[in-house]
Amino acid sequence: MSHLDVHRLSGGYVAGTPAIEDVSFTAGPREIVGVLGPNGGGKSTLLHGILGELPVRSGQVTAVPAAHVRQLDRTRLDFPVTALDVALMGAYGRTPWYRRLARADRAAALAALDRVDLADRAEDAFGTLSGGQRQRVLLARALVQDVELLLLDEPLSGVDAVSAARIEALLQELRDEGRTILFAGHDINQARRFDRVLCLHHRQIAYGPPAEVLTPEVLAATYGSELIVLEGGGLAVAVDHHAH
Amino acid sequence: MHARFSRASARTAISDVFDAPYMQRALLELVLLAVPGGVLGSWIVLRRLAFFSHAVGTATFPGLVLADAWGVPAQPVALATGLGFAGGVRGGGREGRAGADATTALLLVAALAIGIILASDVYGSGSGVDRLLFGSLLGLSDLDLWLTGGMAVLALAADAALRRTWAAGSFDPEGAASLGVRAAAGYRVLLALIAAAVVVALAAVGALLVTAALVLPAATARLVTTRLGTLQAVAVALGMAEGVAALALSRALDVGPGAALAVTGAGVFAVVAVVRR
Repeated sequence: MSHLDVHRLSGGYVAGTPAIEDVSFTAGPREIVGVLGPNGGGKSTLLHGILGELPVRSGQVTAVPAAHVRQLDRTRLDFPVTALDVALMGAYGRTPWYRRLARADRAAALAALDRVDLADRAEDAFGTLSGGQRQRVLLARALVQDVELLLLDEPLSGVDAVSAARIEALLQELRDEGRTILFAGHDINQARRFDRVLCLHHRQIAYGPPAEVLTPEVLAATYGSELIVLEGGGLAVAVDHHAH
Repeated sequence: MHARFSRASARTAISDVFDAPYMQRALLELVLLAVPGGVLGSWIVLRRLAFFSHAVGTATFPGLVLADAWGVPAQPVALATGLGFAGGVRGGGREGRAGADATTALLLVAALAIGIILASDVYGSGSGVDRLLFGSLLGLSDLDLWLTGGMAVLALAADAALRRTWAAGSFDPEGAASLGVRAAAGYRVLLALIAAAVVVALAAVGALLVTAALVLPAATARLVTTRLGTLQAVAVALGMAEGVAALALSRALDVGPGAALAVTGAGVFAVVAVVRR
């Protein structure tokens, strides 16, 4: 049984100018799917589309409940919450307004922080943590949601090397536990380690195992002029960091 | 000996201030008002709605002029204009966009202009305009006190029911939906509650000075607290203390209580901001 079935999904934020067109793929348990594409190529839009949050869309999405970790620069640093408070937000959706948070949820939040190696920072204000630590707290929040599908939007951008290593190891663990992970990013070499890769440039360029998909032709069609051929034949992507 | 004497006379002076029944009503009004002021004010500050709150207050002004001229109760008219304004701001510019502040500013100026034209040229409201703009603690009715008490209870109840929704929605406005939190609906309820609190505050502090009761205590508490619960408790306590001080100041200097509250609140904020730097 698949966790995610996307069929001819098109859509965007303004009627008449779709950000993504005709995207179709299926992702099952124990799969990390890399979503590659240039800035503005529709990666974030695809994740919003899967969540049903696009104002304009057509096509069909069948998905199990999902957690979304958005780009790090979208969260507020001045809000009076601790790392534990943020992790606990993962339990808000299943707690009715008239109930207090369950003891089990508190335990789950502490366990999730432990899994991202931040148990000792649970009582620290979220805004005082480093970028990588904040990203790990947001991952802990997704873990507390206890869902089978994780949608991660550039989870390693702006993240220090220690945090990045911990996050990559954790994602492998989560995959091995049976979850499906969509990982939107830029790193072609990292994508070679994923189970499947979706190349996206407004339209779906290719989808399949990395060995089949990550060819120079597909990458050229995906990235266009952002693709750089390195000495020795390697390929890299020049990333202009964007703010939108 | 000398010290004891001045303490005693200070105590007498303070109890003198609150001897008159109207001053006791005023005191009760400001103490009650400090509850929604601190509880909702904390969300106003965290959600960056201070300008919105000020604008809702100003927006009620033309409604107040009309109610005054027609001899109808001010609160329903003010609530209608306040809620209409909140809807206009939401419709004109979605939250987080640069346009929202500009829309708020535009509507604020329009409301003030319409109110002034109505007051000066259409109805000749005269000296009543002062009271509408800056409040009065002389004419507080039983209804005013009951409404403020009711608003205090409503603010506490709404905060208890919705604080997780508001927290998730304020921390991460776009991401809250994927947490299964109904953040957009919660936000609309918050805006409506702010409009209601503004209307309740009008009688005491007037259309132009509602932020003195609804924003300043929480903004000051924000400087010295790092947890949400503490922020709200400190804001409520500070609002009560500022209310008492403002009444004493108002009586001693014979100035309007709204102005006294605004000056007290702004002064405390300035001192705390400087000390905390």
